[in-house]
Amino acid sequence: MSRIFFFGFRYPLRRKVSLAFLILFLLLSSFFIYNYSLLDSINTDKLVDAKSIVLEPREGVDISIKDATDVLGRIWIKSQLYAEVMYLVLYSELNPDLGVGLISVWPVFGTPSQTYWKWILSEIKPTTVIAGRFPERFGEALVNEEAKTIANWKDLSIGINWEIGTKINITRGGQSMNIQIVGSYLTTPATFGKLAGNSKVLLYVTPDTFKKYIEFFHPNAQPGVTLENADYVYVRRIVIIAKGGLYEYLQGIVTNELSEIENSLKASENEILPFVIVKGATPGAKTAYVQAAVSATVIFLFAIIGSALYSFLIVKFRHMEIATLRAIGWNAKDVKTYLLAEIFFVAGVAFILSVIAIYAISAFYALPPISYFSIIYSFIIIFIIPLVFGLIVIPRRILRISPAEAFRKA
Amino acid sequence: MGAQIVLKNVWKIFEKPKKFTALQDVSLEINPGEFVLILGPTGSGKTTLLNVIAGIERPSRGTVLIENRNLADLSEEALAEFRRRNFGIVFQFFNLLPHLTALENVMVPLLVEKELSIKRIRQKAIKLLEELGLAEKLYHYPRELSGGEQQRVAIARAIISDPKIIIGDEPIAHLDEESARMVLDIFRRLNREGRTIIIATTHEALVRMLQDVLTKVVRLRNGRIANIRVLRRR
Repeated sequence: MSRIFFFGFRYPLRRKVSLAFLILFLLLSSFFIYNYSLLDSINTDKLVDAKSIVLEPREGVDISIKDATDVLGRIWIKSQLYAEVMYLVLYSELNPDLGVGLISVWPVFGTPSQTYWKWILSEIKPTTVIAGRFPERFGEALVNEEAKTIANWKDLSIGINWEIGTKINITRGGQSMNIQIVGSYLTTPATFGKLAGNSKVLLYVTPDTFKKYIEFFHPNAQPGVTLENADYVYVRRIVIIAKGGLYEYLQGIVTNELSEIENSLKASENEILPFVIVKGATPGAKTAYVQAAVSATVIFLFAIIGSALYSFLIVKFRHMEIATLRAIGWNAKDVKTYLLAEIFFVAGVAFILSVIAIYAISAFYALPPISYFSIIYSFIIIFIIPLVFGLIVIPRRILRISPAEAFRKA
Repeated sequence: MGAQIVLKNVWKIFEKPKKFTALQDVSLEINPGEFVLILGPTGSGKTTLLNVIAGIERPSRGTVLIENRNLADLSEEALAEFRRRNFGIVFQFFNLLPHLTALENVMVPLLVEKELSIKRIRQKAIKLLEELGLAEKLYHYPRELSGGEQQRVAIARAIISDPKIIIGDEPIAHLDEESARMVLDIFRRLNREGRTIIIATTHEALVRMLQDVLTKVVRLRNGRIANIRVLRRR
């Protein structure tokens, strides 16, 4: 069986019609994975607008992580059924003389990887990355172009000629650390102000980098001071996002009714003091679930039509080949295995290539994080459905082809 | 020695697309090692007769015995295996698989024989192609071969499973003179090795070209055997 099966791989490798279907399946799979991931991403403006609640400290109030913890606990109790992501935007001034500040995001729950984090950062509008990328790993930083006008940073010694890739070495109290600039953003008036404190230069860093800075390198750091109790770390925002794609929705993990949380918070305002809701949920906004469901349905229909067509065409285009194989002594089962190998190969390669392509493009262009659910779903529609169709259609069609047809002119 | 192929009062009637009687009361005996030419105009039933002999078509009436086995007793699967083991088929239009190389085409019949390793099948295919003068063309695709070369590949494919009987349907109809002569020489050689050869053709000239080896000339007309001429006995 396996010998015939693997021999069957030769056909799709050498025929244009198979290549055409391979490309079709590849595009379907890639489109779905990308589209679903986009919908699944909290960076989608529509989704953030529709389904996020932003809380900021009341005017003139500085809030430390410790102060915010109680508030977060209360919010979490109210939102745990709905919110998938909740995070704090943290800020600390590194060098008040030069106005250098450090900014990061502190995930409270629902932010399982750094991939999410970069999308959360991009939500801090109107900051726009103009070169490079967001920091993804420990020791990486995003710096604003303003830094070029400052000749020498007291702590960072970055100079005016820095470029992406420049490494800054900081040593203090026997501890040293390298920070590498991986991207730069455009400074806008809105970048400063409340979010940035008094700083003119903001370094966006990962939570791990932020923590290490605070504990070891901050100018005001005292021995034994941790991130949680440092009084020079301020919470600038709390963001609650009820996102999630179709899968999460069907599981009942998330809801679009973020307004339920908002109403609940408003009804008990004392519980969220000293924060104030600066942005509430948008009722009636188009949901990710609907978009994801439409996308999944469309792609499913395409896969069904494509698979059916493919199975019919395989037999049609290989009619004479099937008749010949049967005439020279292959039985219908052998021929079926041989033809199914083509579908297995085409669908399998299309699926694998689409996943590789999407990951590659995602890494290169900083697309939304890839949803695992979209990959599983894509596997089902691009690989399983064509095979099932092949198993249903091909054996019946093979039996209709008489080996005697091999004697006729093709 | 008993006859290798026995047809007794064989009829073949096609119901679709229009009722048509392709063979009428055909009876024929062919002994092992014979070289038989089936002659007749287009539509006389030559190809149908070959199909019935090879078990590709089941007769509407009558009996077909091959090596004393009644083909009617065999299931479709058993018939396919029986055909693979006993018959080598050479088609008029070569019927090579276009996406496979000459070597791969020759290997095809044996791929379903589980007891043979792929290495062994490959070696056997290479040896056959070398014997047929195609050593330089192993990795050529059919479209890269001349008509004569394609037919030699098809013959190699037909004999790779060491069949006792080789049937050819107009095997030289689309070949130039030199290629046709080369292909007929191969059939001669295969016959000398003890294989039974049955060739169906419309070309009367083949009687003359193969007169040194032919044992029987069967003339068909309108699905009936008009005449059987025995040239030599085996």
